[in-house]
Amino acid sequence: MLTIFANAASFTPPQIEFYDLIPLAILGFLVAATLCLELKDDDSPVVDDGEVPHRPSVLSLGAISLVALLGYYLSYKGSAVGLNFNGMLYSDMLARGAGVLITLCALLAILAGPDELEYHRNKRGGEFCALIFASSLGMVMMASAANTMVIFLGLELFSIALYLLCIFFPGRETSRESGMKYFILSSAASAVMLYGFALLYGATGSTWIYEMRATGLADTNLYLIGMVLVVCGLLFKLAVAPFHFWAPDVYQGAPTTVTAYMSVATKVAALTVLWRIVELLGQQGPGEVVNLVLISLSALSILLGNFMALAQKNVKRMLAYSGVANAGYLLIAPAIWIDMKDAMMLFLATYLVGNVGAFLAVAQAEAYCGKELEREDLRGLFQRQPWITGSLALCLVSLTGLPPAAGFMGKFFLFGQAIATGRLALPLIGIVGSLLGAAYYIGTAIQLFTAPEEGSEESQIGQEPSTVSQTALGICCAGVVVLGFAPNLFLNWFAGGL
Amino acid sequence: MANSPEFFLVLSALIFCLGLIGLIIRRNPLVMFMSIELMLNAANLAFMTFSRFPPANRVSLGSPSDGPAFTFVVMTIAAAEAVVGLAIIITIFRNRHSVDVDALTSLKG
Repeated sequence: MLTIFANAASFTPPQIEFYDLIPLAILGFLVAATLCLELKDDDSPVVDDGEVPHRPSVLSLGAISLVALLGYYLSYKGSAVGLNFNGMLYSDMLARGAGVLITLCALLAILAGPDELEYHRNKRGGEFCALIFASSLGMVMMASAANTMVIFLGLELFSIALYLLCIFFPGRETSRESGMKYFILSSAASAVMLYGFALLYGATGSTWIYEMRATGLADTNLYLIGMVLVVCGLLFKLAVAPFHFWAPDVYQGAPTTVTAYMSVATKVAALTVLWRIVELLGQQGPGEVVNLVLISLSALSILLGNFMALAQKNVKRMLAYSGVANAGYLLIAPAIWIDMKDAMMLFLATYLVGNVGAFLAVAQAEAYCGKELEREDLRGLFQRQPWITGSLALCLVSLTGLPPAAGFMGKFFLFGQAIATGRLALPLIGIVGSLLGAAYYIGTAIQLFTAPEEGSEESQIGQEPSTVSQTALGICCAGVVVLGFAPNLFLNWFAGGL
Repeated sequence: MANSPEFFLVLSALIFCLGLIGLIIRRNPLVMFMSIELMLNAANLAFMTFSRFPPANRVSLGSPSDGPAFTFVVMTIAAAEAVVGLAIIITIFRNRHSVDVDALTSLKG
């Protein structure tokens, strides 16, 4: 008892900047509100014949809150760098940039999700939204974490929600398989990362990542092994080769909206943490080893991702391998030792609008054609669904990196800054990879506009996309155009100017 | 021997490797999940060891109780993960009456 009082006397109130905690508060509130309003106790997840498909009533609440959250982030002026919550969270532009992108992903997912649930006759729309909110809460937390404990908490929060989102249509073989594979492999990766945190704690006696370097104990083998384990765990979440083997299966089997969401948002969160760790490592000792790993794996995943994507017939699988290639481009930023986090965040933003847009268009095309899409199925779709197909083509052009779409600006700044350092190998490999990528992106886009074969029967007309999910697709297309013509809007905001 | 950090660290590394090997060679998802739990618990053991035997000249904001605190966080998270994981395994079992992961082959390419 006495010791407790002795501690209480020296207790200092925690320093909390509540304004910076608004995103976490909003997302946490949304999870709770959605669960309270939407949880149903009926057993069957399937809509019966004749029953009106259920639209989650919480959808408008969620959409409005997320738009408000985007407004909060984007209205931020100044680039104050600080620590919050007793040093547990960073509040800097990197955290805010990641927050914007994750919130935007979540907004697009909840707008487009109900359409896909309706197509699969699933009435768990409320739970879908709750899981999306919970996982974005985890991602935002992880992206702003300054303590390994918070990193791990955020990581597991979003991973557990994503396991459930992958297996969201348990009646489908592919969805079950995707959830199972993601669960086993991803929790193993989390365990590896946790062991890395334990070793780092042992080497430095601290769980604060910004403190580890300062302890002067950071050059031991224990520290090196811990860092390598942590980086391996992060590279797994980023789907960088050779830790990519789960990505095609999981992305193909998961509901398409979930794939759209997770393929970008997990990359944002994991890359932000990776950037912070690389910054902390410095360039000597363990930093050199990790740098070598990053350079070689970046090159490997650019080449492997693009070559494998060329060989794919399934559209979602092709986009999954393109995600592996894009993870390779993203790794160029932490692999090159200059402060280019603005180029990295711009690339992430352009990748977001292109990739999420492409997946959402594929989801709508799937609902329209009533089946999983092979690349040949897209043939001649333009005549029947010009809006979906036009957006898909625009997003594919952006992913290729052709001007004036957003993807060009992303690659231009990323490769440009890398070339300016004089380290030419990685950006050159990136350019070669982009040329390879053009073969399948543009090939698919051309497929959309060619006339359907003579005599091929008109495939069954399925579900038309709803206005809400068309809005989501429209946001992506607008993003592709705006970021393509005015990337400075994002860069200026990121630099704190607006 | 039991009073030195080396003993516990070697034990923790052995448990971690055991979990990793189990994950790779076993084909039953329940056993694979148990292996993952072993890996998490190996990390817990390492945290407790390092908290009991901190590095000599440590300077930190935190206190030696960071290690046990982390351990409790991990235990809570592992419980949440177990709930979701077992639900996933049961869903698979209900639909195909077998849980062998080698039978999961509908996604390929």
